[in-house]
Amino acid sequence: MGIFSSDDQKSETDLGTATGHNQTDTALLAAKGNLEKRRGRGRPPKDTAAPADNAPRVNAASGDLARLFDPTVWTPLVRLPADAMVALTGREFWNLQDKEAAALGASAASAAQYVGIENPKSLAISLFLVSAIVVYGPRALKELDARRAERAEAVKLK
Amino acid sequence: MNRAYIIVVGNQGAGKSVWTKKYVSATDRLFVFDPTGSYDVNYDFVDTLEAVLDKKQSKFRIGTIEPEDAEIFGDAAFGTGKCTFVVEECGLLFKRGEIIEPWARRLIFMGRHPEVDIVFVAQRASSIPIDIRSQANRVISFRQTNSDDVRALKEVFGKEFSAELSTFPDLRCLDWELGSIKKYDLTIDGEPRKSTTEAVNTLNDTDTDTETETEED
Repeated sequence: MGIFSSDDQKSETDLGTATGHNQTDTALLAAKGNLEKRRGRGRPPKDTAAPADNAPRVNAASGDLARLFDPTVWTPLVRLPADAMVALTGREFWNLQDKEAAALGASAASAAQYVGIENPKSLAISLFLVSAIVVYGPRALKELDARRAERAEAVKLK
Repeated sequence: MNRAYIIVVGNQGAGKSVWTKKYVSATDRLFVFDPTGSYDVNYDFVDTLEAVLDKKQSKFRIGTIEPEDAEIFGDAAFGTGKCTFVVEECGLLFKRGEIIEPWARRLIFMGRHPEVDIVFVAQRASSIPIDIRSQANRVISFRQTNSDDVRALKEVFGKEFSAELSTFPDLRCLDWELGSIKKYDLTIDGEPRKSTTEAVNTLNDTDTDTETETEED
């Protein structure tokens, strides 16, 4: 060949002493190894075979997480700020309409799917904590409000 | 074993990707590194590549836009053999003056054995490392306006024709292969327009004349 032969660059042609067949095997193994690492950069594996370390494998498409991505699960969560303000202020305009809450819930469920793929355990734990706040939070605020009112009433009567 | 080792160079928009896409249009075992994601290949390649490496799939056209995947493709091409590997914008992977990584050196210098055809595409001929350029058995050049690039191509096309390169319109190229040079325009589909094809030179140690013949449609 020898075209482009006159150049001031040095040519690095040391390829070692491995035979062609060994180089093929080496290349295949390297490709397979790097492909597995590539999967770990954010792509879930196609198969869901149990891993050797017995840790539960979660596939975002499996039934395990399907419930977490149900919009009806997210609707109470996205209503939380509004419900909290109703409890604190008593002002009706803080109440969300059902379709407003449904729209927020659907978009939150979509966003959660991407977080879920990356870190499903954290998502599940976060979802539980937020659900607990949704259920107990407004009630706790109303309780505090009620006790404040009772103390004020008690002071008046004295 | 013969393999195609092709370098395609040309300024942006001059036609090098048009040529390359046409060249590989019928290839049924194809790896493409293409930062623009414009080839007709499957860029969601992970599962397909796994099947190819496990020898469960023999035909494939896969691509990646990420430079860090080029090594996987290079190793896979070498390991599976009888395929074509296109490297678009090879300046993103290989810098002149820098040592070429082992996976690439293996492909460049030993790729003939597993019959891996390679196409390196670059905007500037002078930016391609000498190790990559030195193995080429075919060089396609579209418009090159930089004097360093024209100078780099002088060895291939000769002084007279390399000087023309800076004046080429889009889709016109010089095609050097095994000592003979043709000049032609491409259609938008990448086909050479027969009416424009000229055999402009046949390299010969004693030949200093230019022979020109024109083919009609």
